[in-house]
Amino acid sequence: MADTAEPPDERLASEAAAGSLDAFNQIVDRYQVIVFSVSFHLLGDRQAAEDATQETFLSAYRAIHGFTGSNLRSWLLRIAANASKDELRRRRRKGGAMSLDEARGEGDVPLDPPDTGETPEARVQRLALAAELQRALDTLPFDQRQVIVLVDVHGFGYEEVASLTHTSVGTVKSRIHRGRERLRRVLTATGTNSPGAAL
Amino acid sequence: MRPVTWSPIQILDGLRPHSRWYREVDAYVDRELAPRLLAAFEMHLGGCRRCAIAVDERRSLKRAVAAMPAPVVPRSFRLSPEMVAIRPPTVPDRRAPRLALALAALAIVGLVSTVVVDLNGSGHSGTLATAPSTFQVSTASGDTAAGPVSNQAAPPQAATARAISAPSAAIGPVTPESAGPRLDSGQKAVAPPVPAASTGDHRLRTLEIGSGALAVACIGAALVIRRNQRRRNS
Repeated sequence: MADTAEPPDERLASEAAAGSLDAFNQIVDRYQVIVFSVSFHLLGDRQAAEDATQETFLSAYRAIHGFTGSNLRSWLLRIAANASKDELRRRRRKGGAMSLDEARGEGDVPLDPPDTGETPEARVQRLALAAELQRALDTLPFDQRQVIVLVDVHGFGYEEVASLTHTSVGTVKSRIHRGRERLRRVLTATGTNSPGAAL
Repeated sequence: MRPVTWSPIQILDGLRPHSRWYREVDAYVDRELAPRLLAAFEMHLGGCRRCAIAVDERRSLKRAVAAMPAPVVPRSFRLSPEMVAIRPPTVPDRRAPRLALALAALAIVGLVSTVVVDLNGSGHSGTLATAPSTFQVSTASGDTAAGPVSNQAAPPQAATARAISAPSAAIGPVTPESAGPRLDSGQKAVAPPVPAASTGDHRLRTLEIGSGALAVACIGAALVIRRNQRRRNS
């Protein structure tokens, strides 16, 4: 029986470090969804997220020979966070904050396909809340936004976030508390309160 | 399917949770609370409606954030050989000029301290008091030479005994006793110990010159590195 198992990250990383672009592109295929998603939630802009994602993989390719760890996903997400931060800084420097509205419409951002069990009404409600949440996320300091995206959107544990952000678990805990508290205040101030909210 | 909702109203109704426990709410909701706190927190939750509401609110906020739609990847981010062939713009390494400037600062501090020590030392006799302030040797010809003689015998014109006082040491008139042991005629002149004042001064001068030169070199290096980086990037 043929071995259909995908090669492990470590093998792909070592082949890429040896100069194999094919091996590296397999890594790209494997992680581009999460890298783009993290960049998008950190930047709140599709074009900026695209640029940051491409930059992430280019930087990763150039630095792959220095990858010695065992967690390629964390390593890539660390690069993605740095690339997003740089992208944010670059766009701010260029003048004018990124227009949130131009990025938020469903026409601009291809969103995930609708859940078959979701009614159209529930979907509209969910997307409206998501847009408000993203707007609120954009008001958070980058460090707090980063931990909330990693923990809440992508389900990372505190320890992995700590290693990814080069901080301690205590710092992650504190950032997530302050971030959610701020998010709560922003949502409250904007009057975001789902109709029929039931806790 | 349960609708994703979030409502902040409860906490704003004046029902503030206990601040001692409120800090732990997020770790509790994320199942990251340390085991030693978990039991105590759950016990508190059992009897505190305000904190229980705070936990519920956080859970609904977390659920709402988690339910944000994932963006669909708009295109492939695979790298092409052309993309990896392009050299990235050089990011100026700011460490090198900073290191050079730090070294320069260190050298300047060294220079200043040396100068201060030098200035203080020139008016202070403490270190010189222990050094022989006056000494005499007899040359092979029977002449007596005095003064800071080097490894060579005193020249004939300096053969007459003379007393040399250390710059600031209060020394009385030179007497044979105070001048140290006298060599008999015919004994080879032995170089006396070099006075501490002289070697100390020499070392201080060397340090001053060395520190100054290092500071100048480091500042120059920092400037050259920065200029080269700017040229490369322009």
